[in-house]
Amino acid sequence: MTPNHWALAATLTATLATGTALAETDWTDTLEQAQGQTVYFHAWGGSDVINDYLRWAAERIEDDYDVTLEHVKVAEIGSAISQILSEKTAGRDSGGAADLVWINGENFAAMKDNELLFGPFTQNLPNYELVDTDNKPTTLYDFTTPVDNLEAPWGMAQLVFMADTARVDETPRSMLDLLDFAQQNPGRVTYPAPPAFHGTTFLKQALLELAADRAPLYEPVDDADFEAVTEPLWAYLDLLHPFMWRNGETFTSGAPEMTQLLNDGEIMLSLSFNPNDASNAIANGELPDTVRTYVHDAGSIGNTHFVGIPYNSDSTAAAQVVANFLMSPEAQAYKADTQVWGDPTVLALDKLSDADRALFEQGSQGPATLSADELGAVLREPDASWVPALERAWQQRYAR
Amino acid sequence: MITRILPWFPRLLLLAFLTPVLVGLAGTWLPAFGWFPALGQRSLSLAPWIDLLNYPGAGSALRLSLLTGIGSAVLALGATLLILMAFYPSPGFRRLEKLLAPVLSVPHAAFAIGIGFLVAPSGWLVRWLAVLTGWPEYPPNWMTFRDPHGFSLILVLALKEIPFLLFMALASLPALKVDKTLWLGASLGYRPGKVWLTLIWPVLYDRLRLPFYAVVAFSLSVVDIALIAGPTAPPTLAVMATRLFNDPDLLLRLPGAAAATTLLLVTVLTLAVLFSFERPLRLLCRHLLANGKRPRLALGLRFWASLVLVPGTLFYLTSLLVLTLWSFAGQWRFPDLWPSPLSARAWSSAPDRLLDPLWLTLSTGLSAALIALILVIGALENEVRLRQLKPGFTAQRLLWVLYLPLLVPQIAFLFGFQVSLAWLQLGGQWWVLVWSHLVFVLPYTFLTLSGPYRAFDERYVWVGLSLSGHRLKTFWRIKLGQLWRPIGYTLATGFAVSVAQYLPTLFMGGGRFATITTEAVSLASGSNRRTMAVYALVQQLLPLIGFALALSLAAWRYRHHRALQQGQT
Repeated sequence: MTPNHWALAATLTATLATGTALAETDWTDTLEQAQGQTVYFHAWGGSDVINDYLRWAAERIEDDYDVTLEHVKVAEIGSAISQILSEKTAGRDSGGAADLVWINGENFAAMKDNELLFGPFTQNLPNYELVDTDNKPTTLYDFTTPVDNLEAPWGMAQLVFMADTARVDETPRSMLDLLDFAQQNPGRVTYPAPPAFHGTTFLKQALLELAADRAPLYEPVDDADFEAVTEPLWAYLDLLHPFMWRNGETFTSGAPEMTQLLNDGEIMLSLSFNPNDASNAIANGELPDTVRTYVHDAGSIGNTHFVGIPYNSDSTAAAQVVANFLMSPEAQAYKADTQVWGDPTVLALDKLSDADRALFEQGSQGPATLSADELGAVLREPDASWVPALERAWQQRYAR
Repeated sequence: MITRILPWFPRLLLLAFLTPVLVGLAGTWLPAFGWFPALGQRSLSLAPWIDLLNYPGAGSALRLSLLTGIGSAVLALGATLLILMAFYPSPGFRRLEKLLAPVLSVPHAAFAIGIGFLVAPSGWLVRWLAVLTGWPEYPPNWMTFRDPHGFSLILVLALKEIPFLLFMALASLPALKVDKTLWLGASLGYRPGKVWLTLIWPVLYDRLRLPFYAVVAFSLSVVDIALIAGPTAPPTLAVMATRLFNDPDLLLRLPGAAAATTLLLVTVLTLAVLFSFERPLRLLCRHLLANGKRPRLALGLRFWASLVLVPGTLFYLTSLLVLTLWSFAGQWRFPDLWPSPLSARAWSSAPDRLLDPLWLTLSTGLSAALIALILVIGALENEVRLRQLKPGFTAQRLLWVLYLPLLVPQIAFLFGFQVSLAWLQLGGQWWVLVWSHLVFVLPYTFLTLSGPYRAFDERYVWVGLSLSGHRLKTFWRIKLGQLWRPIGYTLATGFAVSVAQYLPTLFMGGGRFATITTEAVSLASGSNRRTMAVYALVQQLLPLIGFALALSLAAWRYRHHRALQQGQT
């Protein structure tokens, strides 16, 4: 190495060091600003498992950062976005009611397009460096919409199916298998009515499995020949519906209702976006311990869910502190425990210290949890623009 | 001094709830006509209406709303008439009367969930069948709940509305002297059925008209029950509007506003049509009934009425029982009749979760009920004054205005009200929450108290005045002293109404206010029936405690006044 190179290296190291130091002072400032602030976190409140987890997080955050976390339990996140829109309509660009929202997919795309989000901010959060952006590309692209540091990854999701093995010997391995299964067990299969997002996800999964060519699904829907691309999906559903629960004349409202129906024995298969849902439901008594999780051979749709900060929040510092805590090894490991919630982590375990990694190994796995291998390939979400188009076309056909 | 303050009470009353409704309506109409600056929509147009027309299933959703809304309301009115004809007045009815208040306070969502768990193919009824006969092994694929035609929705709505109409009828019936009319009819050889239809019903309907209209408006626009008991593809128009308001595609809020406005228009039109039918129907009935014939055949009234009353009561009782069972369930699967093992887990974790929402529910409910009570007493006192000034004065017009918040679909004005609150920077303040509850608490407070209050014999006051010479003291000790029972009852009613408010609580607080009801509704979107049941039961318990307190306080207050002990409630 020439002296020149040495000099360059020295400068680089110095720059890097100042960079880190700068980031650190920035973060110290944020922590200081956050003290005493309250964060109203609008998040789905339908699950006491999640509600209890957030109560635990609120206690931890209060203790460590002097920040008050209030979980605003919404039945649908759309109501929080309506609230922010109302405020924007009224010209209220500060002091908004929501400080943090649990979003992904179309909701994120809509908020980003309409400039309802604060940030970019995740690059400033110390724990963001631990996120597995290399192996979990959905932490960077939310339904193909670039995240651009506008929302902080919180948990991983993958579409899985559940079956009660007391009644089902062999689980379907593909959508075509599912059709066979439905024909052999009439009235025991169903899916939620889109636009309930589990229903829409079922449509996307079916389309990905049945489409002759997946490429158009990753481009905006306007660029594709919608009729031609979706034709196999409608042909399939036309065949499936007559053999479905209630003869396909009525549908469930979402995955939670499917869980209940599976427990009631009305249906034999259910679905979830959380691979550990079944284990958690078994621990809760919501499902019998004969329920197991399975996926289709072709892989299944996976995505990431995030937290974002509305543009008119007055507590952006505290909201960042909360987002950072939710990404911490401690919070992520506790969340991944199937006895607690069972939501898979967004972190890269190999980036963690040994002590932090050990936290993840303590958690219980649960009887219906699949290993990473068994979970199989993750299929990327189609472009966000396909969601409304599919929902509308479905409604036109089956909900008139 | 007091006479100068009194005229302000009705005005304050009007201001208190007309402002939110009117401001909210306007705030919803603007986006319905394309004005939504936050989304870059700044031109007035009919585009949202065209979008709504083209929205898949919108037509069917409207048809479904009309069928379920009008169907259930007419069914409930018919059932109310039938029950009254068969059993009023009788000792059994007095017992039923006492049950009505608690039945009225059963939360909508909890009731719908309970019914669902009874009649669904995996529900309790089929489980009995399975346990007793060994068939079916698995729940049959029947369409007994959430059917696409909305029949189960009609059933739930009608069952929920009958107690309200009965309650309102019972408030008016004493003044109609049913006993004497029936006796008079009998002396002329008419059977009770005919006397009811020709003499009592027409007068009673005049008094039931507004409550009936409120029932029609409610059933046309109800969201929570329709979400649980209604069809999904398509849902009713009210559910569709809610969905459009919450859609990730933000621009769908414009057709959503158009859908909400359509609901308002449909409600107004339906009420107008019902109103215009009343006269011809009445003439027709008179023509058919006033023929002097005295048919001997018994109509079997009691039989038919029992067919409504017995299953109805059973539905209420078993849905409550099933909720209680679920709250203690560990595992509970088809075809088991009882959960096993039992578990107190849902209850043991409840205190921690419930404390804050419970406190907010109590403070808001009590404040709203108390403010409403003061405003209503003020307005009623003003009436007394006006009656003294102008004999023959009636308060019919005020009644219509009071009913306005009950006749306008909530979804048609709450969205607009939310925008105006944000604009006034008032969202998230506790007193605004109380105010929004007041809009709905006031009408019920007025309806509950006005009967007994107007029936009060003013001569007691004159005597009191001549003895004490003190206006306030007389008012407090003589008038309110004797009206203690209806006042307690009114407070309990107001409190119950406040506890039940979901949409106003959600909209006003920007989500910051969590009451038992908002928590219960968000939990209803989840899968755990145990926690859901705990919240539903607590939600049901609160108004019950209110009514029990009201009754026992009155009993305590009058423990030395024997004449008042059997007073009316």
